[in-house]
Amino acid sequence: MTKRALLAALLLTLCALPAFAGFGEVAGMLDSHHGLKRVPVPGIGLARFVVWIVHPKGVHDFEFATYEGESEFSRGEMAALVAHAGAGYQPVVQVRSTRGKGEWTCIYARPAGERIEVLVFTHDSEDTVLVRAEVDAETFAREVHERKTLTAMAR
Amino acid sequence: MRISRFLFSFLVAITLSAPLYAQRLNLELPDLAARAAESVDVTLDGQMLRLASKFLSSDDADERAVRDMVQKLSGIYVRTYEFDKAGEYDRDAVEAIRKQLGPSWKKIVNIKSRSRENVEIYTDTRGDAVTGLVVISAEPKELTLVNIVGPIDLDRLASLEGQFGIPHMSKESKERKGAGHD
Repeated sequence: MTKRALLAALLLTLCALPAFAGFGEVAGMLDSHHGLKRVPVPGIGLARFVVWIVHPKGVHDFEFATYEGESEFSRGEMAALVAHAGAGYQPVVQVRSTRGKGEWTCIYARPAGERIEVLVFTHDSEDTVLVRAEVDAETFAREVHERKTLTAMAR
Repeated sequence: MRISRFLFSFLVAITLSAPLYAQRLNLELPDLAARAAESVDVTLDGQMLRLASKFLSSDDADERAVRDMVQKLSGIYVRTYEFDKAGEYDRDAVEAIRKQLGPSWKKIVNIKSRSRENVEIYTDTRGDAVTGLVVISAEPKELTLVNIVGPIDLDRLASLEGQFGIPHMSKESKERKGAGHD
């Protein structure tokens, strides 16, 4: 009986995972971007639940969406992306590489109480990933400088 | 009479509200960004800096001093442009940055090399306080611009290297990074 109650609570939690403003809008914009097709990621709810409890590498919550397909983003489109992200988001890091497949890595951030909410966008000609995460100050500072945790996760 | 008194008050108010800190410079060089093989923009305003600096320990005296300095800053802005070939960009492109430096800005470092990197460091000094800093590092294949806005403790400045998007710029730091110890 206890097991059943726990399972029910877990399922309820997973079903009730909130979609944050900003992420949904940008994901919606990417959904309609020419050449991109969203790839469903199974088990994301469970992974998110684990992150809520364990906080690996200073990450307290996350959402992500992955896309396949050849596509390009101009600087103007990147500016539109942050506009879609909503109030408070600021572009903190923007990396543009024309080498190889033509890549973008962008980190937008806004305060979330004592933590920082970041929106990470990575794109090359074949894959595009959008990650929203709530991170602590150390992870944010490390990400700005080295782009190793969230950006690596997105890649 | 009333109007001239009003105008005088207005003028005084504007003068008193003049910024105590250096203003953020426009580091955008769109022509270079379009031609660069890789460009990196880092923009951290005061609010983000204050949040990001919380990870610096308050127990360690050095980290506490750096944190105190960072929390008073209005912003850190970094632009890096990398090119595939040496000489692919005009080193005079940074003239647009130099032109923004007013009379309170002084060049405190000037290293010139025909084949390697040229480094210029400017500080905005108001009284005894340094309230702004610009670093222009021009290598044959890479241009880096750093603008720090706010009160700066020059003794602590080196500790910002490698943090908050400020690249490793000293020779020792670059060597350490190259050796993978960073």
